[in-house]
Amino acid sequence: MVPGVERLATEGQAAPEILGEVLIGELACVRCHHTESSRYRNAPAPDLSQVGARVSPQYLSRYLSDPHGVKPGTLMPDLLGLLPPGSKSQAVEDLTHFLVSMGGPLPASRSGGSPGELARGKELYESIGCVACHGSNEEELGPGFTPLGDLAAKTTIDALSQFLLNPHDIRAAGRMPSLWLEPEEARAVSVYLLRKQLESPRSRAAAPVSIAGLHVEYFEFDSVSQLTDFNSAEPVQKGTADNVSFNLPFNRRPNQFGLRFQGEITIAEDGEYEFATNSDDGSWMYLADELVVDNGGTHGMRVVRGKHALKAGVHSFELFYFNAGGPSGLNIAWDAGRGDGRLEPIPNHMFSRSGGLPMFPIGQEDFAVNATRAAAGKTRFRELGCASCHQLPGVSSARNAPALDQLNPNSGEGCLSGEARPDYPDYRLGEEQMLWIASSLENLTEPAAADSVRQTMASFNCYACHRRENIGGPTVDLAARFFASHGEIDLGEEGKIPPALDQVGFKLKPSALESILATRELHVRDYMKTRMPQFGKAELADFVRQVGEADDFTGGGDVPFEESDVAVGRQLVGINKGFACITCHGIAGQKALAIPGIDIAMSFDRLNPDWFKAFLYNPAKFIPGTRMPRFWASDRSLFTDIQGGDSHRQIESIWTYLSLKQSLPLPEGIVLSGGARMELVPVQAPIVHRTFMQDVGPRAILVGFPERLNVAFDANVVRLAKVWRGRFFDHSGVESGRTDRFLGPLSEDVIDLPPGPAIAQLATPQSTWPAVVKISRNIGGKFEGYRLDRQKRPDFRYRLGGVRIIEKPEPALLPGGAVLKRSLRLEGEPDGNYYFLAAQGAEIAEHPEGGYRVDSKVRMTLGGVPVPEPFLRRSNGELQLLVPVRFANGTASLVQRIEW
Amino acid sequence: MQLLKLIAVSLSLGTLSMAVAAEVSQSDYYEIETLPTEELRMEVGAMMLREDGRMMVGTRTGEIYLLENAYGPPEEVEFKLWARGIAQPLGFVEHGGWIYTAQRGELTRMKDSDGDDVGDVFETVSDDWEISGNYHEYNFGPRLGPDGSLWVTTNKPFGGEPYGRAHWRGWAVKIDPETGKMLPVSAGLRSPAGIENSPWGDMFYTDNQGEWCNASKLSHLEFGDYHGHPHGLITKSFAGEPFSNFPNPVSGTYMKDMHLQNPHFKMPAVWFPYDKMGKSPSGMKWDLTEGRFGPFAGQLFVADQHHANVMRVMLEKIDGHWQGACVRFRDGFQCGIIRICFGQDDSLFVGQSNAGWGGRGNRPWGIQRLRWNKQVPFEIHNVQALPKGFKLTFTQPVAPQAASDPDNYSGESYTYRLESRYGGPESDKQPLRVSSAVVAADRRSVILQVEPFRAGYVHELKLDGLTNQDGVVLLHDTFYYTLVKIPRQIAL
Repeated sequence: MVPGVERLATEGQAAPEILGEVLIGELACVRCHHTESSRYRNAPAPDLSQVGARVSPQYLSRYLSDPHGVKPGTLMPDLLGLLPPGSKSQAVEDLTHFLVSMGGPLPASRSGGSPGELARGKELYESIGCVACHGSNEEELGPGFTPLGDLAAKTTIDALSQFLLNPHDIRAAGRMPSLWLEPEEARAVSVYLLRKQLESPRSRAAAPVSIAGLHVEYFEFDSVSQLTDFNSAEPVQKGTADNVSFNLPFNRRPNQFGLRFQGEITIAEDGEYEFATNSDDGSWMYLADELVVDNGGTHGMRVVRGKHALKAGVHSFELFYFNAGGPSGLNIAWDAGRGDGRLEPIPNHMFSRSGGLPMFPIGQEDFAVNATRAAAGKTRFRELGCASCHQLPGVSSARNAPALDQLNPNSGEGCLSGEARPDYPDYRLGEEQMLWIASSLENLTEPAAADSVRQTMASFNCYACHRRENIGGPTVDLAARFFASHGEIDLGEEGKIPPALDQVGFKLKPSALESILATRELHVRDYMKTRMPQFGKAELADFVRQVGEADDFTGGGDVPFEESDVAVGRQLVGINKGFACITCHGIAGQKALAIPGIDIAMSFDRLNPDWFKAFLYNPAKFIPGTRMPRFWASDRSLFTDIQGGDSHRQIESIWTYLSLKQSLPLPEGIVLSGGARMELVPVQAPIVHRTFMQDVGPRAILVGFPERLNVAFDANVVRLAKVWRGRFFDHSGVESGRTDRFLGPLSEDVIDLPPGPAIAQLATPQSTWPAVVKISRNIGGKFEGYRLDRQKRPDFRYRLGGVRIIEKPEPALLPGGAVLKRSLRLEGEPDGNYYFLAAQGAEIAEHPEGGYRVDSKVRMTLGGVPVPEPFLRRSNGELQLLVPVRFANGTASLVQRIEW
Repeated sequence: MQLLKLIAVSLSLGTLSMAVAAEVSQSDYYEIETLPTEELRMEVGAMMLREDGRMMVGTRTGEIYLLENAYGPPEEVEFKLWARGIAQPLGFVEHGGWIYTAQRGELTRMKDSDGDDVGDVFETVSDDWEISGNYHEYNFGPRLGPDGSLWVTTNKPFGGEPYGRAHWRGWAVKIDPETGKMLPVSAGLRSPAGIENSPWGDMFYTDNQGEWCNASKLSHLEFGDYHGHPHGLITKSFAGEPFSNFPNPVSGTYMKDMHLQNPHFKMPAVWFPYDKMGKSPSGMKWDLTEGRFGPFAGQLFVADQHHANVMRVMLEKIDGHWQGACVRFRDGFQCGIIRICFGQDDSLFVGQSNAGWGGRGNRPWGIQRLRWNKQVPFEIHNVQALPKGFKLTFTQPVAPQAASDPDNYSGESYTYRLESRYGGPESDKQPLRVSSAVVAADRRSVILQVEPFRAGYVHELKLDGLTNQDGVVLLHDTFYYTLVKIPRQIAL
């Protein structure tokens, strides 16, 4: 039924009316029993507009005849009890034809399952959290779980995986959450849940079908250099692969080998597609039996592209690759049909191959929709009141029921009268459940915030994983069997069981709670196999408000930002005269030294600073049995020489440091891990690195500051091009082997500076700003180099006309991370009118806190000597903020701050 | 086993002779020491002995190190980071208080202005050459020419050119260090991985076999020459005379006949026959140790990135053209070699990187030192062309009997075409016959008459059974002389 309610009832002391109110919401009573009150939940029923496309007709018919028999525990009432037996079967048939007409009948599954998917699906089902609500799928379900019903009779792998990927499309109520499955994972779980279909006679009799992945063959040659060398070769090994890569099910030797990938690719829409291979040595890609990419020959990593028009549907795919000697590599990519030349990986789920085990719904038979019966079914759908809950466009419910506040639960009439009255919808409610509902109907008081939180946790079954007020959490049996960490890590129960939610409304910022529930942001427990699911947006804002109220959220008395505290916080977090937090906590994407605990650079976005302070003073008070030690006893710190040993100030300094988020300067002692192959990580001093860079060009000069601000200067065009926060750069694109991949920043937190140079000479204030095309050089002047100051920060020097420009980008610290401070000094003999392009965008407006707001993302402020007097102009459909450069004694200086 | 040679000791017992064999190898004379560089990604691209006696090393990933304690036990060497983030430096010159290097996009000069052994001033001297963003667009050098300008060779791209075709790829250029003005020297280079100024002031470069380069070579760089690769000819209209009228070469022409198409075509000084000598010649150094590195003072050592070896080259100028012979010198380094450089202690520092190219050796990068152990190997010391053959000199007196027997000399001659394909075979081969071998009175040299003796051909000769007077056979018994010009007069 509603497992969360049962747990709330048995483990807590909730009043019956509180429980009843949850049931009224989950059963959607107010869909028929109208009420003006908005306090009742009104969970929408599944969207049936395409039900025929996902449910077998034979299953629909059985289910409508006997919903509680076919799917014990279903929330759907049996509405057909009042009909005499003869007309009941008639009604079922009519309804079935109607429902199947909604997008059906269910197509026979094109694809099938493989033993690998079956095993992977079981592993996923039992580890990511499915079992918390649905129980083990291997044994009889006890009470307290949401039953899945006879899925093997109901649907196909394709339909079920589609549902698992986006459950809220069909079940908008959000009770069935998304587990953030990748398409391959959704397929695997589907194969597992439908595994009985492998045994059905129809499946056994059918020819093999397509399944995920590609066939791959491995060849060894005495000498290989061209495609024809494959003609006479016999594969040494055969297997399957998810995608075209070196992730192969067998070992290969380094030289004189070849690979052949073969299968199908599924294209979603008609269009022209660009494909590419990047390989060392040669590769050839065939699509629909045409050679689309010819990257043949003996060479280093080299990208070759090819275009091909493809219709939506399934096309043959074949790729040959060889390495004669030296280094080897193979990647493929496509433009996803955008036509903009940008390449991205081809997702695994687009590939398939023959040889899968067919899986047809058990009992599925051919079915032809009879239009007359479907029309009759539609009428019944209205009249029986199905349409009250299952809203379909143009189908309104004809069922009338008394308004909610007119109901008398003790009348012996109506839904609560039980089996005695088959002419009412039959919900199969138990005695206790009916009492709760009755109690709620009689006692219409507004619940307290704490009760509302309990009700929401019951409705969404948060209790299946999370404990709060000693209610809920996985049962001892489930916890032991199915909740685990990735790998063997010493985090104890904290590493396996989702956290208790006591005081969560005090602990987390409301914005964080919203992110965690509705998105994949701020899910910090990477070490845990169980995933925090996504429940959709339904009722989200209410819950966030209620839990804050229930737990006395303080509004986050923020710590004033003192830049000098950053260095103190950095020291305290590090291992040299610090508390060595990084032993157990990752930080800004870098791994912890010992135990992979939560990344503390996420703290500022997640935590209420009041909770943070209270927690550091006594972690065990908040998390009994936690591994987190207590470092600050009352008010004296272990480090008495830092900030006078003042614990409060020390904790505030750590908070200030963490407020820089992903772009905080890394603490001492971190062992750089990074994810990228040749990641540059500035820790002690800035790193200046000249290389090829995407969107900047082959003469990029990159600067990564320890403050985790990074910039890129283009010495060909002569302009500062990009600024970004967080991780710096992976230089393997150019400096590993024979490669010339133009990589971008290792961060998505990027600001592109206005196109073109910073400073230009214009004939008039309305003259066009110098344009930059791909091969432009010296637009911003003639590049003269850079010098490092004592902090090893570079300035960039270039000459424009009679003036030398010295441009120095530097970090400035703010909560949220470093921002750019950019100084420009001009000196010499001006031989024209010089202008500075301070900003460009669709919108430039004054910022309430001073300066300008550019395209709602950036705040830009200006200073300098003489004081700049910018003016706004429109050019080519965009706004530009220009500063005329005025020289005094042959010099001028400009200071710009770009915050975002 | 190719490192091993037999010492045949002849014992005369009346007419009966008996040979006793003992093994000698290159390592008996030149020892390799390995510096510990596993942790540092020491992919050496540039090496220089600074005026203060310290070695400076640049890596492909952009770091520049100063080596402290570089001449003692290898484990005591310290690598001090002097600069980083330089775009693939492949050569250093110290000049006027600056250190010059060719980065991908520019010629740069660098300085440590505050004396903390860390570079802090980086000035662009010239960025007149272009790059398209292709990995193969390396620049080699600079080297200080006798005219005070800085010479650089530029690689042509190989594969895609993301920013369009760039100018000045595949050229030798020279740049005024003060004004930054760049002037062309020669066109038609392919992959000119080594550039070096000779003790007498002429500049030479090594080029790697590939398209339009059937065999790797060492060539003399002189103004106005064309070395055969057409890629860089798109720049000829900017280059002025005589470059502006250079025609595209016709594939398949014998290089010796290329002057008929382009009178400015330059024949190599030395061809390095494929696989017999190496596959990818790179850095080189003249031996200026005046004998402290062994008996080859004044000769040229050339490294190879594939064979992980160092070869030896003997040059002479005949009829205005530099040409000569190459022989094997030392094999068995741990990794393909990019740069070699004599240290203050007269050992040869050998800087290595496989840089994505397969090669011999089992390490991806490193630095080794080659040290002479003061024993003189029995080697061909020099080869000089004569009107009808060669004069060979040896490091030690030869046993005259075997050396004067023409049958102990065998070989062949061949030449190369200029072709668009990637590398090409030895063409127009003929066996060589030595018709007379005359040993000099001091037994230090032999004069050979060789038939046929063809200009424009490599003459490969093997000396079988020659020994010194102690019965030790030659450490390396084969030489490859690139005979471009035949001398008209004997200069004994």
